[in-house]
Amino acid sequence: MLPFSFIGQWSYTNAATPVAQNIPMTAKPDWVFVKDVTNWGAQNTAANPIYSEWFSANMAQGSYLALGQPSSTGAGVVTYASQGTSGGFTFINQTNPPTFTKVAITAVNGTTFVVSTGTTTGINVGDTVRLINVVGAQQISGPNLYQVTAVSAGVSITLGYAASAASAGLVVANGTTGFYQKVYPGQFLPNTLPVAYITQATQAVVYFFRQNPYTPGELVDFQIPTPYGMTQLSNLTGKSGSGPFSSNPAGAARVLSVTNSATVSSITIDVDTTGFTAFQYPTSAAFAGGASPAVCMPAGSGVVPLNGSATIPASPPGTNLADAFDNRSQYIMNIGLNAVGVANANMIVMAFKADFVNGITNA
Amino acid sequence: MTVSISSLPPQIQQRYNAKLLSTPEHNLIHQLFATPVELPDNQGFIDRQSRYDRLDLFEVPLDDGQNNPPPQQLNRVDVDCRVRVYATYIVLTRQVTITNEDPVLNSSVARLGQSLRETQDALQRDNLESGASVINCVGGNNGDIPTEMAISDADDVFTVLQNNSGEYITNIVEAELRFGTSPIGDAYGCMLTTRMIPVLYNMTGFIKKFQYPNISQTLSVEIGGANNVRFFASEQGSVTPNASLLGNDIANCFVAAKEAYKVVWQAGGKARFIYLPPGYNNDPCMLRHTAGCSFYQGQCITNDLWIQNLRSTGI
Repeated sequence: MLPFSFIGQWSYTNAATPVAQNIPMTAKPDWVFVKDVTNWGAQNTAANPIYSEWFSANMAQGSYLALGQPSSTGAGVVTYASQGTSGGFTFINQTNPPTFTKVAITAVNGTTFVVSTGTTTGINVGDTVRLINVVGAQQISGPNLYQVTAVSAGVSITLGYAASAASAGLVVANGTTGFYQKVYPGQFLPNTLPVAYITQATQAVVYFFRQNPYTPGELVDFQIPTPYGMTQLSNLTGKSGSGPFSSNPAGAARVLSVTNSATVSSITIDVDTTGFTAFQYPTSAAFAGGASPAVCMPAGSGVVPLNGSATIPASPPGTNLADAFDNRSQYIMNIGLNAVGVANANMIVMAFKADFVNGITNA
Repeated sequence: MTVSISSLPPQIQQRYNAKLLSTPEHNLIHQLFATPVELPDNQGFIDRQSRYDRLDLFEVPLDDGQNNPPPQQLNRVDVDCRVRVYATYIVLTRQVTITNEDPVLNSSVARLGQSLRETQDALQRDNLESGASVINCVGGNNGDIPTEMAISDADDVFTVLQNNSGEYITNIVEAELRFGTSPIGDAYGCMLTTRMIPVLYNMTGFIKKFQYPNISQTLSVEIGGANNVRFFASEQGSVTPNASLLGNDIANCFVAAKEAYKVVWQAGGKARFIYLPPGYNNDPCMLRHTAGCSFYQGQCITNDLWIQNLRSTGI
């Protein structure tokens, strides 16, 4: 048995504007390194970092050691060393993720969902945050998780999925002071999600505040409290059914199509909501007076529809296995912007864990 | 030289007591009301169960011509649950096991077993936390959303489950001629964190377990009951940090009716302890033991109407 066991090797290519990378791993590594195989040793090419690494033994979460190279001529390339305490390597056990302190905000735009704040440290596109006690917009405060779609360093974060719901019809007043807090969401999927907005249409479109886990053919149900309007959509599972592709409400709603783009998270369902009460968020004061969230819950697996059709099943009938209840938690090594490498570089990641340990220690 | 107690060498001053101290163990509550299902080997890793939807009522009488009425269509809902494999292990050098007075390997077995059972329970907890429908407590008066739980919240969730045709978990605990006791109605089961105990004890209408007329049909993890909900607590009950309106911790109190969720075990993958003596795993000099455990488990909500996450603050 060697002092270090090889956990695995991964590769990725940075975009023109590099973003943080999440590397799934089967174990918690004790040593991780990332190497730039595009620019390594290339003369006339300044690149920082071309190599970065992290050791579990004496390095904090988010820190890194790095090597960079200046542009040079002649034989060989001289590298220079650096280190930092943020933007490096962060290990995440998704069943027991790290927690973060709350950060003050000064405003939330109820239309664009731009959240003004002086501190955006550690926030990246794709992260999820919750809003806490936003004055004037308490209905969007609390357990709801919002996905970040843009970050303006030290100025604001944008919750683009919520903004798309606002474009569709979600009405929320502007908020003022409050807090945001970064949160890692659970990975037991499919999961219950707060609903941002539901259209009144022959095939209703349901909007969410972050990317959704639902798949075409999956059955979903809703619990819509009275302050949100469209209560007719609640508890469909308990309502009498008369066939998988007949008029609804007839059992749980079938997902016909799914959108999970960079700023839009929605599902189209086979429920005609044109005659239903309009969906609306309660006002800030009404929510603070006592309300439960409007939620969409996974309710089962159904026949897969043909290209989003509400009436024609796929032929041969498709069986959806992607909607099985599943624990998709992983160990993740997040490689932050100070370690992820430079633009357009091909990067190699290798991870190792120490085996030379006894399973007994004294307190 | 004077010999006194203080000059005795440490080895003489100390005696190792071989009777081990107890290790704290969490209450296991989240599988209490789960329907156990066994997935046979060699038949895939996703367990599918089905439920047939209710049919419509047919209250219109046949006409005098005795023509057949319109038919109904039978609709089936499938619920899929994926089984995953979980494992952990510890490594002990032979040097440890042959020099320690304490039988370390024996303790490792006990601790692995505890870790395994608590993991199984936590998986179900996380499943319920992820997939259950949500109701906020609003009957309290702490100014937060959700509020701390009040008797009206217990009644609300009871009403929701009744409206959804959920079947009770336990039968009525009938009144008896005993001072200081009160009956408990037919009840749904609520699984929550032990941090909720002060909230429950402050709740008007809450009946502590020792106030039941008869405790023969109770569990040690049961705290008490309120009207038609009985409460079961664990140190590893579900808590979402900082998630309330005001940023306080939220207790996720899962109220279940019968057959609301299930746990799936693979027939050939039930809880297992695995001991490998020195010499295995690229250990040519026979220096290391390993002790491990593994199990196969899946968990899922089988009817979204019958499990509710009653969120409360005040913890």
